[in-house]
Amino acid sequence: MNFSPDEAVPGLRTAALGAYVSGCAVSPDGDTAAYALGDGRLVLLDTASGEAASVDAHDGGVLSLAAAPQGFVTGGDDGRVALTRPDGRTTELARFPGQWIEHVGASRDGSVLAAARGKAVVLFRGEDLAPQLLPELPAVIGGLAVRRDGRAVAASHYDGVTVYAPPRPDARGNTFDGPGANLTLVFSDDGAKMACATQDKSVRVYDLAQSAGYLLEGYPAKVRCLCFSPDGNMLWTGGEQAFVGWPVDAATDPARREAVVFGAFEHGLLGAVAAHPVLPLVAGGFDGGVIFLGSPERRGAAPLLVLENRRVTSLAWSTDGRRLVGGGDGGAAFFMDMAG
Amino acid sequence: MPAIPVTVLTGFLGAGKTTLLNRILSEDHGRKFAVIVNEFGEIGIDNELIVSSDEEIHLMNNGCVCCSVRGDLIRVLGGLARRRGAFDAILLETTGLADPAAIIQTFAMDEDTGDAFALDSVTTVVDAVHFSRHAAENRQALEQVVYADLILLNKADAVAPEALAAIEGQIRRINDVAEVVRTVRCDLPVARLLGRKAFDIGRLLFGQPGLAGPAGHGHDHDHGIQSLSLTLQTPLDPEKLGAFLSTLLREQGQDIYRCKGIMAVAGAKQRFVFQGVHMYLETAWGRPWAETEARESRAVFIGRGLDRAVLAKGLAGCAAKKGDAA
Repeated sequence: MNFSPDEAVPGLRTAALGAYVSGCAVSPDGDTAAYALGDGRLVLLDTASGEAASVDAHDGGVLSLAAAPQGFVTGGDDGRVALTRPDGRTTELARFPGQWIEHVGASRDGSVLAAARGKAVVLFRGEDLAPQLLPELPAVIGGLAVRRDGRAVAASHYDGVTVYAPPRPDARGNTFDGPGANLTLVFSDDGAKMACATQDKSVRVYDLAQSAGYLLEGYPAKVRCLCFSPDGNMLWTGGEQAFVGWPVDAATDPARREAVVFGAFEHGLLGAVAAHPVLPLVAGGFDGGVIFLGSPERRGAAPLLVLENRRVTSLAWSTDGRRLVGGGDGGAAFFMDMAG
Repeated sequence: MPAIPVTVLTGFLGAGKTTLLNRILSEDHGRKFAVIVNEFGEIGIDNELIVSSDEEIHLMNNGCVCCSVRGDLIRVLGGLARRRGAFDAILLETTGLADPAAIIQTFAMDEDTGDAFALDSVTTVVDAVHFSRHAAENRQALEQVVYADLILLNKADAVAPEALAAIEGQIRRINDVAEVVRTVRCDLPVARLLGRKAFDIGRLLFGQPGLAGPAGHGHDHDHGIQSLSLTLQTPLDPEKLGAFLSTLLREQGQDIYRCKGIMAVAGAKQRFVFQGVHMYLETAWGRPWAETEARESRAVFIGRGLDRAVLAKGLAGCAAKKGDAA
C-alpha cells in the first residue's frame, strides 16, 4: 500500500487507499502523514521513505482526525477517541458507546486535546490525558476548534458558538449568538477570530478582539471548508466554483467588504481549502478531484494534480509548509513534497 | 457513484413499524441495510449497522417557518456516506410523532445529503384498529399519511371489512396519490417496498387514476386536512404556471403539505412536472408526451383549509393564449 512516486510531477506520491478519506494531517515534526479512512483504518506514511502502514484505529469509520506532537487523535463511529503514535501504537483516550465522534481538535503543543461527544465537549489534558466532560450545550455540536495556543476551545451548535476560554471542566463557556445551524468552525492562528460555516449557505465571522460579528453570504452551495490565512487577515472558503477569500482584517470596513474571487473552475465546487502556513499561497480541492494552488497576490490559480475522486474531502499542509497532503471520497490520496 | 436509496418508515405509535423493519431485515433479499432509528435499545433490531438519530430540527434562516431540515439526519447520513460500500440501502425508522416534512426537506434542501442519497420512499404503517382515534387526536398521525407514497393498512384482520373500507376512504381523502396495501403483521413482499423512487421528480407518478374517490370535504376529525386533485385539458403557459405556483406556496405554503403535478405546457414536447413540500418547490421537464396521448394536466394539492375553487381558478388562469399551443 505504499505511496508511489508520480513520474510527471516531482515530489508527488499517490496511493489508492480503498476507502473514503475523511481527514488527513501531518505530524508537527513533518515526519509522518496520516489519512483517516471510512473503513476504520488510519494510514500512516513515513514522509521520508514513502512507506505506509495502516492501523485499525476504529471499528466502523474514522470520522475525525487531528495532529498533535504525541500522535494523531481520531474519533470514530465506534464512539471512541483514540491516540495513535507515529509508530502505530494506538491507545484509547475515551469511549462513548452509541455516539459518533465527528470532531476532534488539538492545540499546537498538544497540551489541549478535545473531542465532541453529542452535545458536550470532552477535554483531554495533562500527563494522563484523562477525559473531562464539559457541561452540555443546548444542541448537538456541529463544529469544534481548538486555539493553536490551547487557551480556548470552541464548539458550534444550533443558534450559536460557545467558547471555553480557558478550557476547563467546570467552565460553562461564553456563547455567541448565531441564528440557525452552525457547522464547520475554525480559529485564526492568533485566536482573535473565529469563522463558522452555516447550513444556510453562509459563513459567520466572529472578531473576538473587536467584539464584532458579521455574516458573509452569496454562496451557491453550502460551505464545506474554511481556513484563515496565517496572519488571520484573510478567510478562505469553499462553496463556490472558485477560490473565495474575504478580507477580515480590522482595517476593512465591514460594510464595504468584498470577496477576492479567482481560480474559477467550472467543473466543480471547492470542497477543501488549506492556506499555506508561511507563503501567500492557498491550496484548494475541487469536486472532480482537481487540486489547485492559488496565489492571492496574482489572483490566479494553477492545477497541481488530479486525483481519482468525485470529491476532494481533505487537504492539509505540514507546519513548515514544505508538504501538502490530501485525499478524497474515492479513496485516492496523495503526499507532495514541495521541495521536490 | 449512484445515490444510496433511503426508505423512511413512519407510522403512529404501535402501528407496527418495528415489525416491518424486522421483516425487511430478516427476509432473504441479499441486500445490506444500514438502519437509522431514533432510539435503540428499547427495541430489538438485529442489524450490524444500526445508528441512532435524535430528531434535531433546524429551521432555515430564510424567514420561512416551515422550511426546516433535520440536523441529525444530515450528520448521520454524512457519516454513513463515509462508509459507502459497507451497505446497499438505508432504512430510517422514525418515532411515532416525527414530522415527515422535515425529513423530505432534508433531502431536497441539503446538497450534501441530496448528492449522496436519494429518498426512495416514505412508507407509513397505519394501525387499522386505532387509526380513527389517533387521527382525531393527533395531527401527526394524519401528516404521516399525507407524506406517504406507500401506506400499509396494518392489522387489517382485526377490523370488520366495512370499518376497513371506511378507514381507507379516510386515507384517500387526505392522500389520493399513495398506494394503499392492506396487511396483517406488515406481510408485504419486501420487493414492493424498495426501489420505489417515489421522490424522484423525473419519475413522478400518481396513484391509480380512477381509484381516487370524489374530492372530499374537510372533516373536523381530519383536522381540516384534505387532498384536492385537479385536471385541466387546456395547455398551460409555463411562465404563468411558475408564477402561480410560487405565489401560492409563498402565501399558503405553510398549509400546503405536499403538491405534485404533471402538466401539459403549450409548445413543449415534454411534460412539465413539479413537486413541493410546504414552500419548497422542485420543477423539471418530464418524459415526452406520446403522439397518441391526450395532453391533460393533473395536479394534486394536499394541505389544510384548501379552497378548490380558488386553486382551480388559479390554474385555469395559467392557460396559454390560443396560438401558443404546440
